[in-house]
Amino acid sequence: MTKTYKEIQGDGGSDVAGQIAGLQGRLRDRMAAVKCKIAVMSGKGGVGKSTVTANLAAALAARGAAVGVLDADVYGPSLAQMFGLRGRQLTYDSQGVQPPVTASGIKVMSMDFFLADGKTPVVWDGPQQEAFAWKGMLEMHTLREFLTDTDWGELDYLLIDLPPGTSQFATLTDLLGKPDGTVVISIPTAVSRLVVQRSISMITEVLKLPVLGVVENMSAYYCGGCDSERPLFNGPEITDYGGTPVLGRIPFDPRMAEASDAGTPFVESHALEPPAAAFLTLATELKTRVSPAPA
Amino acid sequence: MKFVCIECDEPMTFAGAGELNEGSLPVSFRCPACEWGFTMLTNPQETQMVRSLGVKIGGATVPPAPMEMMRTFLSGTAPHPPVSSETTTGEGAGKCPFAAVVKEAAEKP
Ligand SMILES: Nc1ncnc2c1ncn2[C@@H]1O[C@H](COP(=O)(O)OP(=O)(O)OP(=O)(O)O)[C@@H](O)[C@H]1O
Ligand SMILES: [Mg+2]
Ligand SMILES: [Zn+2]
Repeated sequence: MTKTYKEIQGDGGSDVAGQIAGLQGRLRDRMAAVKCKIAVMSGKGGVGKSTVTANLAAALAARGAAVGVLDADVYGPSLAQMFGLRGRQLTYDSQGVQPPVTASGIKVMSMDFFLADGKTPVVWDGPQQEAFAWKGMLEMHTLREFLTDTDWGELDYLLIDLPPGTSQFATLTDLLGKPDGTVVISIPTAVSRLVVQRSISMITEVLKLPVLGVVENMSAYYCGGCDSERPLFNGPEITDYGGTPVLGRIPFDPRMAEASDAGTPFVESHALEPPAAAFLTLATELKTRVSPAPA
Repeated sequence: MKFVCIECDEPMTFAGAGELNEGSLPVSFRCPACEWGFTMLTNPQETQMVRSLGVKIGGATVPPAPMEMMRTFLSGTAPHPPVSSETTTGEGAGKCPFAAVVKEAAEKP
């Protein structure tokens, strides 16, 4: 009779369990200096997750918070552009990689900083045949290293901008455990509300994690010329997604897209405009629900 | 995955990894009791799978460099690869990570 798997102690010399515990410990140590970790996600693509993340970060920073932003969209990074940080040289020291910092003090880490230019896609070295077997591991490690190896320092808020869908959110919570807040972005159309509701159910019912609330982006059309709001989409105003409250509404303003393209969050470049006020209100709402102040 | 010597019923211990050759990694194990040993040759997919686990064959002697896994696997070069302001480098990073039982360890609660 041979020994069974469970009867054999250790793993023959690699101490894999120890190595993994070491990686997890380093992640925990780094995150200990971050008071509130906020995931920004949506089942739906293109609804403004990154735009809301950038402007919410700017609004929180304007209110005096120490803010970091992690672009967790590994294959489609956009935050380096939105913060005007593309092409920044990274340096690393014994503390890890120093994240580029905006003029307003927001620390940003993104895959964009590791890519040669605006045309370079993210391609992993390795046999491309049956690559599905290992790609997910690399996505996880990238997220883990962005969290662990970036020298975030002491932060009140770390906003994590996720790609569309729920898969990267699940990876994030595998690594971090329960975020201090999860904000879901939607737009007021039946299609978006349907897809977003499903992603909320995924989080609350399958992953058994709480969702702070929904931000409805493009809730109206804001005309800067005549300072008025007009309807944009036909969805009736709702106050919750199956019990998950709507935390804030952000109007569509073409200047917001222009600001992102130009590399300055709208909240900073158009601080006195009503759509900027909507982000400041959202920041206040977030701060009352998830406060970095000790309880 | 663990290996047991048929003769002695002893768990085999890691005895060294060779050079990566056309995607194949030789990994040797020996029985501590009778010295019998063998070398396992992975196929390229297995090698990649094992590399992507992020652990090092035979154990980690130094902590990984910042962003080591991501930078090791990312194809092409950054315009400005991270500049070290200190003497430590990520040299040899992720070259031969391997351990067969990682899955079990990773799945531990
Ligand atoms: N309220 C708004 N007013 C004007 N333009 C907006 C607004 N919200 C988003 N946009 C624009 O819509 C486009 C998509 O926004 P964004 O990239 O933030 O969406 P996303 O949800 O992050 O997309 P993805 O799913 O690809 O990550 C961008 O060009 C952005 O500038
Ligand atoms: Mg985005
Ligand atoms: Zn033996």
